[in-house]
Order: sequence, then C-alpha cells, then structure tokens
Amino acid sequence: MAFPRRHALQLVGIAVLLLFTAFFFVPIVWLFLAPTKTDGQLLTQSPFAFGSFHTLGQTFHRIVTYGGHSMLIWLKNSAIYSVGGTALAVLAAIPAGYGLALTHFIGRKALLSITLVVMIMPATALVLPLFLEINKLGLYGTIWSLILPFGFFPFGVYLTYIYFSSTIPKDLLAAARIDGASEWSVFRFIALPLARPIVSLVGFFAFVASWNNFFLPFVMTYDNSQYPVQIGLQQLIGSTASFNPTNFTAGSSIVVLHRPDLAMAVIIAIAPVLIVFLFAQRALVSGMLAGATKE
Amino acid sequence: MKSYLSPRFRALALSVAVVAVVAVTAGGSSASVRSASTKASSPPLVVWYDAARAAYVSEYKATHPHANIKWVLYSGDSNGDGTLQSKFALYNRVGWKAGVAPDVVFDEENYEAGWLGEPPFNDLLDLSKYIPKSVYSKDEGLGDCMINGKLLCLRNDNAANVLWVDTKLWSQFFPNQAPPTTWAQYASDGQALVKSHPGYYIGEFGQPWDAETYLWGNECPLNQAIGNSVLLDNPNSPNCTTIAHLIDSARDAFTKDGPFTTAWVNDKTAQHMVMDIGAIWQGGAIYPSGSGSEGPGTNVMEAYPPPVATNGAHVTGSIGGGLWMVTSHSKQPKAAAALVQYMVTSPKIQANPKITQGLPAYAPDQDAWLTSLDGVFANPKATEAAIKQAAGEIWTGWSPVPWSVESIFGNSVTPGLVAGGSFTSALQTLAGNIKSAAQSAGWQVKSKK
Amino acid sequence: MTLPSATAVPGGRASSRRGSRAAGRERPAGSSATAGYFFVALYVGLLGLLGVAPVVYAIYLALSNSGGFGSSFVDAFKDYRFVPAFEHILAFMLIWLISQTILVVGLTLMLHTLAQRVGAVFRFLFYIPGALAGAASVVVWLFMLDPTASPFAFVLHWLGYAQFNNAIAPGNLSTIFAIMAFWTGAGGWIVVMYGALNNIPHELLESAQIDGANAFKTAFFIKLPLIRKWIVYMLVLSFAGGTQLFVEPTVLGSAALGVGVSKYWSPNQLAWFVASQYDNFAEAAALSVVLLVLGLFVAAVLVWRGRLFEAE
Repeated sequence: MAFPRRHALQLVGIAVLLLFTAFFFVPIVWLFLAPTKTDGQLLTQSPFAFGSFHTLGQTFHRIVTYGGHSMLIWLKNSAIYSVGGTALAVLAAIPAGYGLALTHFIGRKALLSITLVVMIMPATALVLPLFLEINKLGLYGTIWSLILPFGFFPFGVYLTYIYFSSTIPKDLLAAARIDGASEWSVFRFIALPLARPIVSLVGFFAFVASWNNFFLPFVMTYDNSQYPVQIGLQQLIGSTASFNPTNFTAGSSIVVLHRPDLAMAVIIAIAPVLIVFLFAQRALVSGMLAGATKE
Repeated sequence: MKSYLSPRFRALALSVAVVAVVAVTAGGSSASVRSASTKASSPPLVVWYDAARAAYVSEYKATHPHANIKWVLYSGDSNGDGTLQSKFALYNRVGWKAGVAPDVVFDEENYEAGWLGEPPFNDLLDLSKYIPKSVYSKDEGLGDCMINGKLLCLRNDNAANVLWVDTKLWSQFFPNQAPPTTWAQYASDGQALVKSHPGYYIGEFGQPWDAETYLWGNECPLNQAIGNSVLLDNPNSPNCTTIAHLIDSARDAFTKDGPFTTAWVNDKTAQHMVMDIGAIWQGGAIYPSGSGSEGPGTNVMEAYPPPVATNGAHVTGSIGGGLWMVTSHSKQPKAAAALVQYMVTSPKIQANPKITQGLPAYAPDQDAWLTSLDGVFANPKATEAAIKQAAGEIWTGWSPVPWSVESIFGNSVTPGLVAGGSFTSALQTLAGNIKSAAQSAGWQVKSKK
Repeated sequence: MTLPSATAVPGGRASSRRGSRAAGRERPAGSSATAGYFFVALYVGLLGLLGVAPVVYAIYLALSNSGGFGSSFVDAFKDYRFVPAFEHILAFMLIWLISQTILVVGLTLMLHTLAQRVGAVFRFLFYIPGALAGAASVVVWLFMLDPTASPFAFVLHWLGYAQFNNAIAPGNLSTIFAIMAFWTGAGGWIVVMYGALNNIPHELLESAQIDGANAFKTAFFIKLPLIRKWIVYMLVLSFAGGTQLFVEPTVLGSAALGVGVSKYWSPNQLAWFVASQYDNFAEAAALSVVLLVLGLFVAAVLVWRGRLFEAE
C-alpha cells in the first residue's frame, strides 16, 4: 500500500535534484559556450548554441592580448600572491597546529581561543586598518602587502590542530620522547610524515581563498602591473562596451571588448582554481574526512 | 611506514620551499614597481589614461619618442566608479611617490575636478600657473575646471547635447513639419508619434544620465553651486517641474532601454529612434550600422540645435566628455602640464576624429574636426553648425560637485522610473537624495538663492 | 567572500576534540614548553601583526577622531546611508542563511538516499560553482539576470522582468546576492554534510530501519540531530562571511552603470566609501568596529547556543 506514495515521492525527489542541478550547472555550461559566439550571436541565438571554434580562437586572442597582455600580467600576479601566501600559510599553520595539539605551554588555551575568535571575525572589516598598518611598515606597493595577510590563516591552524589531535597516537610521541628524541625530531620525523593530507588540505583552502580574494588587493594594489586577476576582471567590466558607454566612443584603432570576451576572461581567471578543484576533489574530501572515519 | 613516507614528505616540503622562493624573487623583480623606480636615474612621468584614450597615447609616443613616461591604463573613473578618489585617498595617507603615484590623470567624469582638487583631497595642481591664459581661455567648458579661482583641469572634448534626428524616419512620419525647436513641440511630436507609429521613439528615458539630458538642458536648479560649498537644490522651480511634466506627457514615446543595454541591440532600438537628445559623441557612437550598435547608419542622422528651454533660454546639457588633470604632488609639474596642454590642443590629436570622437573642447581645433564630418552625417553643414551652436550653449548652472548625480539618479530614481513612476514625482526623491549627499559631503544646501 | 574556505570547516571535528583533551591530560611532563613556543612562533607573529594589531588600530582610529571622543561613531550612526546599508545586509542574511540551511540540509539528505556513485556525480556538479567565487561569479550572474541573454530568461520573463534593470530592482538585490552566495557556496557545504552523514555508524541506521522507521523518519530523527553541529558551524561561518558582503554589490553596481545598486549598499561598502571618497577614515573605522562587534556577538551566540566548542 505504501508503494504508490513512495513512487510519487521518489519522482518529486528526482525532479528537485534535477532542478537544482540545472540551477548549479546551467550557468557553467552557458559560460563555456559564450566565448564561441560573437556578441550578436550571444544575444540572438539560443543560450546553449555553440558558435564556432574560429570565434573561440578570436575571443581568446582578443582577451589575452588586451591592454598589452594585461590578462597574463594579472594571472602572474595572482599566482605570486596566492602561491606566496599559501606557502607562508602552510609554513605557519602546520607547526602551530602541531604545537597547539601536541605540546604543552602556558597560554596554549588562550591561543586556541583567540584563533577561534579570529577565525569567525569578519576579516574584511579590518582591511582599512590593515592597509594603514601595512603602509606604516613600508610594505604598501610590495608583494608582501598581500602575501603576509594571505599567509595569516587561522583556519588552517585550527584544521591542523584538529588533524593532529585526532590522528597522531599520543603513545607514539611519548615513546619517542622517552627514547630521548628532541621535540624537533619528534615533529620532524614522526608528525610531519603523517601530515601530508593536512598540508594539501590547508594549502588548497589557503590557495583558493587567496586567489579569490577581492577586497584586500582592491585596497593594496594601485596599478595594472600589480592587480591580481580578480581586480582585473572588474577592470575588464569597465572596458566592456556594454557596461561602459564611453567605450563606444573609442576609435577604430582600439580593441573594444564585448560580452563573449568577458566570459572568456572569467574562464581564464578561474581556470587554475577549477583545475585544482577537478583534480583535488576526491583527495580533499577523503583527507578532510580522514580523521572522522577513524573516530 | 615512517621511513617510507618521510622522503616523500621531504620532496613535498622542498617543492613548497622552491615555489615560495621563486614566487618571492619573481615578485621582487616584477610586481614591485617601487624597485623599478629607484633604479631609474629620474622617475618617469606617470600618466593614467582610460581605454578610449589609447589612441592619444600612441600618437603621443610617435611624436615624443624619447619622453620618459610610464603609461598606466585604468578605468577612467567610468560611471563614477570612484577609482581616483580611492587611490588619491590612499596616496594621501602613504605619500605620493614620484614614478609611482600619477602626475597626470585623465578623468571621464566631468564633475570631479572640485572633488579631487578641494578639501579634503586638495590633490590637483592649479594649471593656470603653467599653461598660458591665451591657451586655456580657448578651452570650452572650463566651468568644470575653474573652481574657486583655480584652474584644476582642462576639458578634453565638448559633450554638449544636441537633437539627433533620423531624417529618413522623420520625413516619413512628419512629412510636412520641421523637427522641434522647443520642449513643448518635442513633447507634442512625441504624443503624435505614439498614436501614429507606436514602437518608435523620440528619446530615451530611465537612464542614469536623464538628469543631464532633461534637467540640465532646462536650467533646472537641482545641482547648482551658488557659493563655496553652498548648493541650490530646488525641485519646485518651474524650470524643473515644467520639463518633468512635458516628458511625462509623452512617456510612451521614450524607450526605457538605454543604448548600452542588450535589449537596445537586440531590438535594433537605434533604428526606431525618430529623434534622440544626446551628446555630440553619440552621433558617431550609437548610430553607425552594423552588429555592434545596430544603428540606422550615420548618413541618415542629422544634428539639430537642442530645444530651447521652457523659460526661453538657449541652453543645453552635457553628457560625458573628459578632463585632463595634473596632481599637485607631481615633482615635474612643468612637464606634466606640457603633456596635458599637448593632449588638449594638438591638432594631430584633437582635429583627427579617428582619435578624438567628440568635438574638441579646444576651439581652434574645432573647425578642422567639424569639416572632417562631411560625408558622415546627413546635411553635414547643418549638422556641423548645430553641433557648434550647442557646444556654446551648455548651461553652467549644473555644477561640478563632490558627488555623482548620475550615481544618485541611477540608484534612487531610475528603478522607480523604469517601473513606470512619473518624472514629476521622481524630482522630489532626486532632490532629497542630492541634498543628503551634499550635506554629508559638508555642503550647505538651500532651496532658494 | 570566503565561502570556499568555509566549505573546509569540518565542524564535525568537534567530536574529535575529546581525543585532543585526553591527549593534553595524558601528555608526559617531558614535553618542554619552549618547544611549544617555537612551533607556534611564526603563527603568533602573524596573528599579532595581522589579526590583533588591526583590531586595536581600528578601535584607536575610531576613537581618535578630531571631532572628539566617539564622535566618529556618532557620524556613522547619523550617516543617512547607515540604516539602509544594515537593512540590506540584514535582509540578505535572513534570506541567505535560512534558504541555505534548509536547502543544503535537504539536498544532502536526499543525496544520501541515492546510490553512492549517482550521489557523487550530483555532489560534483553542485560543487563546481565554488570555483567561481568573487568577481567571476558576479560576471556570470550579470548574464543570468539579463532577460535578453540569460538561459533562465523564461523565469525572468515569467517574473515580469523584461529588462536587466527590472531584474536588479532595489527590492530584489538582497535576494539576488543570496542566490549568488548560495550558488557558489552550497556545493561545498553539501560535500561537507554528506561526509558527516557518511560517518554515522551503519548499525544505527540499520537498527532504525528494523524499528520500522521509513526514509523520512530516519532522515529527520536520526540523521539530522547527528549533523546538528555541522549545521551550526555552517551558520557561524556563513554569518561571518555574510557581514563582509562587498565584491558582489561593488561589481554588480559598476556593471549596471550604477542603476539600482549604490556604492554603499552594504555596510562594508559604506565603510570603504566614506574612507575612499571622503577621506573619512575615522568613520570607516567606526563602521568596521560596529561590524566586528556585531559579527563576533552573533557568532558567539551561535557557538554558545550550538555548544560547538565545548569549553576546555
């Protein structure tokens, strides 16, 4: 007697899932099809029509060469800031998480509490004072104005703390210490080799957070040669004819950007993160849950 | 297990370290402009320009091959995005480093000279000490630049509004009639058009620059500086209410789609504009045929003088244009001012419509630029005369102020207008919001002189 | 916004803290304090420099206004843009947090009833937009909201929006930003929630089934309570992220030529606006402090009510 009802419910469930799949995925499909079309085709053809590879090539060329290869400059800057920030975040977070989890010192609990508070603190509210401070330190206009803040990653510390406190058998460390191993050796030869999943996890999140950060570079950088790609995208919107009337007045000698170019720029801008997503998803999820499954 | 994992981890740690070192050294050599500037014997002149001025830059480079200039492409502060204010505010905090902070700036927003040049910013150089009066006095539209006795900028092009008419559509729809010369005629032509040819338009309405088209063009005192930091903001002036009422009376004859929307291109709206009040540069920007703008072709478009204001004054509004400025912190004010003077006056740049799309603000270059329009528009001589007339009629009572009226109009009034609200009632909202913005910028606001 | 990092939070790890406490108690006295300081040194340095100092500096800036003690707070509260900005953010948070919580939990529970492989495909598809945080997602949504270009045009037309300007009418903005935030962030949370559900011991679910509980009852009475902490965690981090709304209204505003979206739509934008456009860093700092206090207060309440970090 429950069969028909269960059937209907299942159908509703599938419909809901498909609806949300469309919601999440249709924009992505659209995004990847847009650069294959000309601006006119984009508006007149079906959103899911494919233009041509020739147009795609032209769009790609236009966006890469735009403004003296600005896109490449932005990508390089993003890479420097994100990789630098990520490296610093990992270098700081892994030992700190270990120290909080497996050593004992006065102020340990206080530090842990501060970390938790800072983690849920609305960080962008601090961008302005941070800017003034960075300037006082003479770092404004240097890559450190971004790498240092990106490298400060309390969330990574918390993650590492959780990881170490749940995965490393405390007996192992105790035994090593009794055997006369120094604190450094214990960290270096016992903890670190086991920390591979958490290094990639912290690295991944630090990288994505740095790459996608907008407000901080918005304040800390002042010209095209310094912009990361997120700021670059905003610049491109201002250079797209449809979004900036004054570009209509541009002479024939100037490349005017259109909507498909903007879509192409978005694809290029997110490509690194997307690649990391595609390849790391499985590893990340398993790494993230590694501790839990042991529970 | 331990000994097996450890080398792998070592490799990982090593690669992280290598990447970090590479990143740091790469950054040190490229991303930091600061190091580049200290290496050079004398810092270059830093010039910020917008994409539409790229041709100016190439021309300048061609004629000044040895100039030590760092050209920086930026948004141009387009749509009042506030880039200049924010960067200037930051430089005021961190210091204006020669070779890094800009010496010369091109600004697309023609009301911003006072904003950037007066307190709390004070960041613009008084150019009157560096550019001869015989030169700058020939630059039209200096009302935007001459602020409290200081010449804070030079105008690049004159963006006065004219009445653009599609001669083909006009002779078809209004065969026995000349295009309107007053706002009242303009509105009644609109009412007639709605009845005879629905789907065709006499203008655009519902865009952030409506105020500059219809209110500025009718001497409406909503944004008039009448003293140092004193604003006249009176929505009840007949100059405001009559024009709003006239526009409302013919609202169906206005398209709600602006020329920079997807709908405009999609619906080929430009081919349905029987007339349109818009800036001089609009002629070459939105009427050409082709997929970019889907216009009717410039050869059918003719410019007419803007409608006479309802109080009888021969005035018009202005949309866009641009300003050249020199920052007061420049260590090379002479060189910077010379560059600005060249950009604004050189016939190679200003008389060449391929480089300068709007009418040059510098009067001596105007005739050559206008002559080049022969063969572009319908009745070129009449068009050129109308443009020249409008260029001299910009009402000076719409003042350069430290807030963006377009911005205020866009976010406080446009949504209501697009939803079908009346212009007459929107006036009060607009005036109220301008008042709030002015007061929070430290201005005194009056509703009577 | 910091959503991708938010997806990371294995809030469920809270349970594993029991282990850490035990480790703390049983630690041999031999572990020296100096070593601990050494390990945390770099992090503490960064924390002081980039976490604590800016807070202190913000408070100092906010209080040291030339107008007198606390006058910058008065300026901030009296600013005619202050109330609308907080109204906007409040509406955004309510719409976003409520819909995100219901939908993420609902979708995860549904996915958890599917075969492992099928569920994995859905989770991956939901997860992809997470790569488009920040300006990139706004660019995509500029097109999704334009009735002439959008694949969702039929929805927009059905809602009566013929133009982009209609779609981004001021009354819709909070909802639009909530949709954007949900689009980029939900997939990550679904992955996290799904992982948490996987950790529920099979015996528990089986015994529930034997007791006659159907899929719904299992989901609501067994699974839901067990992932409560994750849900609270999602709320806490989303709240902290949501108060920071900046890039979405900024980029949407510049693309819409300023129509409908002011440059001080959100409080964070307002802070930046008064600092950058009127050189008023004191009022900006005051706004920052208000945001900070508000964010910390609500987060603390959630943490405390959710008993997320049981006191050590």
